[in-house]
Amino acid sequence: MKGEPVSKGIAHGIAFLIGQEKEQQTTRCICSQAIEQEVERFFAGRTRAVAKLQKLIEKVRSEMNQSTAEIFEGHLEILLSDDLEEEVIENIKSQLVNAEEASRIFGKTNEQEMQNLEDDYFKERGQDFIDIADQLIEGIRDIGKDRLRIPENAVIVSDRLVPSQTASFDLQKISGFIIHTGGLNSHAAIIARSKGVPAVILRDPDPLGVITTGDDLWVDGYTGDIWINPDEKVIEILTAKVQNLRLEQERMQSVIDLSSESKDHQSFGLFANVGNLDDIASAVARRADGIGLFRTEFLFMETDKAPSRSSQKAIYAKAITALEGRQVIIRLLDTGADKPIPYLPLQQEDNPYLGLRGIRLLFRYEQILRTQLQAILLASECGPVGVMIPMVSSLDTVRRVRTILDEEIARLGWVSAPNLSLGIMVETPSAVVMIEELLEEVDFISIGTNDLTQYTLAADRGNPDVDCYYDEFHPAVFRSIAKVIGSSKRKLKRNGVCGELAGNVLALPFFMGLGVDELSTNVVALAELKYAMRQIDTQDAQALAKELLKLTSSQEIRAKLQAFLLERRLLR
Amino acid sequence: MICETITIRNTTGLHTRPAKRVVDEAKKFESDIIVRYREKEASLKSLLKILKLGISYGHEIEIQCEGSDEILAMEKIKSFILNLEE
Repeated sequence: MKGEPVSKGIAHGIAFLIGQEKEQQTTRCICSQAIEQEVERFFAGRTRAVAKLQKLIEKVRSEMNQSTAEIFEGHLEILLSDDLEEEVIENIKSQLVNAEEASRIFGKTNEQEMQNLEDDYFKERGQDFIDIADQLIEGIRDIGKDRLRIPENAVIVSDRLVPSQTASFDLQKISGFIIHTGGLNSHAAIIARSKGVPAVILRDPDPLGVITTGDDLWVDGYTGDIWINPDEKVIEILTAKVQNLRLEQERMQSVIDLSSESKDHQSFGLFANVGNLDDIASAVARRADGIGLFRTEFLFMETDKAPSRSSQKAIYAKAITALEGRQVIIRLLDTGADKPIPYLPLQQEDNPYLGLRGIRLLFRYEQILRTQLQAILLASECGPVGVMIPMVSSLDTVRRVRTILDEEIARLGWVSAPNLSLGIMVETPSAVVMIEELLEEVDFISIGTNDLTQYTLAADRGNPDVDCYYDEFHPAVFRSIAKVIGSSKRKLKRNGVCGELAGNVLALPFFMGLGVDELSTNVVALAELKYAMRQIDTQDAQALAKELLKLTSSQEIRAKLQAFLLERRLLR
Repeated sequence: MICETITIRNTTGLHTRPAKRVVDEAKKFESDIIVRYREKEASLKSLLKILKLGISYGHEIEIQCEGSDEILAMEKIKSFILNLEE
């Protein structure tokens, strides 16, 4: 079974079901004589809910953090407000329903109003009202979920977890969560992540229908996989996976706080490629020296219309703030006919990789480009940020973006944007050939090795029939990389590499030999790279790079790199 | 009665946490304090109503204070909102 992973880690434990929906109230409608009684039940219920919430706030403040506690203080404020009191009592009187139902209506109505707001962030916060209503209903019913005796090592299985519930659990006892409804940004998922408890959302099938309390459960918070009472073979594989993760973590811990430098103390930046805010958090946790590639596609794919300037700005600002002054390079929306976005209608193309993609597509939908640039400009008030143009094949492209950028700066009423730099992805052979002139137009460059390889070698990386022609270690690719990095160093422009090759330890000595400024890679590769980097001498690497550039086949290049790493015991 | 218009400068706007802080501040004054955004308005002393205005970064809002301490209230509330972080 597979669901959506929302909090990383692998959990093993005993299933513990919380059947929230089964405690349905029996009567909802009341006669008018019962109004007064229901109003009193509401007041009594609220008093209980308030007492419980106050306890919860104390617990959150001492066990988690102040900012999470403040969310619940907000709940308390609303729970105690005249607004809530008036609305619930009005519901009881006008709709002739009991206090529970009146509270439910209160939650639903207000959630709906939040749903109608423009800002995505506010939309999701509508959940707060459902949570407040649930706490109130619980108080009215006087059932208190405190009475739940959660066993050690429990994997909580529930239809929906409201944050007050997640927070009131003794998280020490819980090894994982399987939730039926909710989202990546629901409070429950956020809290699970902040406590490092693996969590998966399983929409289909309903976990409450297929899992029973007491089942042996494994939850993979990386992939979303769930196993119920797996056989020994599976357990063996999973145990090995957990063991490997632990080893990897230990190794990572040993270098995490050390600086990214060679044996002879030359610095090389180890940056992270990120695709969402979670990645950024783990990049910070693993001490990345910066963000070398912030893919912004996720912002555009998860919505049914283009994300607003303010919602984009909020996310970029969060990333920039989290990096505390280290560089964040944001790549402009990079998509094409192979990755269609519903609100950007595109013709079917015979050759999407040679088609309307990257910056070419943004020129077609210029408003999207302008909005994204404005969002990044506004976010640049929080710290240094680079704007990176994807799919550049000529100088005109860069000049056109620069003009648009200047217009947007003027539109904000600014004279300049001191924290903002402009750069390009080098991923087409024409950009390699024209690199000297391109460098005159930009502040930095970053080599996208995946596309550069496929365009240089004219081999589609998705086509298995030409798989053998696609090789990142091909001498043509290596020489292109050397040319680009060499030119940028002469022109004193920041350079980097952000494709798969950047995260491959085998290629590390080559990049170090060229004197690359930064390698940007998936966060999980950072520790391994740093570990190897700290044992390589730059002079050795320089000599090696020189040799490599003379070679004429990828086999020879690989063999030489392997020998270099084996000599230093850096290859397993 | 006095009115002033300001632009929201903190990243996330007036969502739960910052809005709660603003409401706490507003409650310190005797004056009625009203916020207007687009065609909607709400008392700044009601967190529930403020949240439902959906005030985000860059939005222009009008603040109206009326009461014995209106001048002080306006000054304090304005600087409080403009100095919100997060």
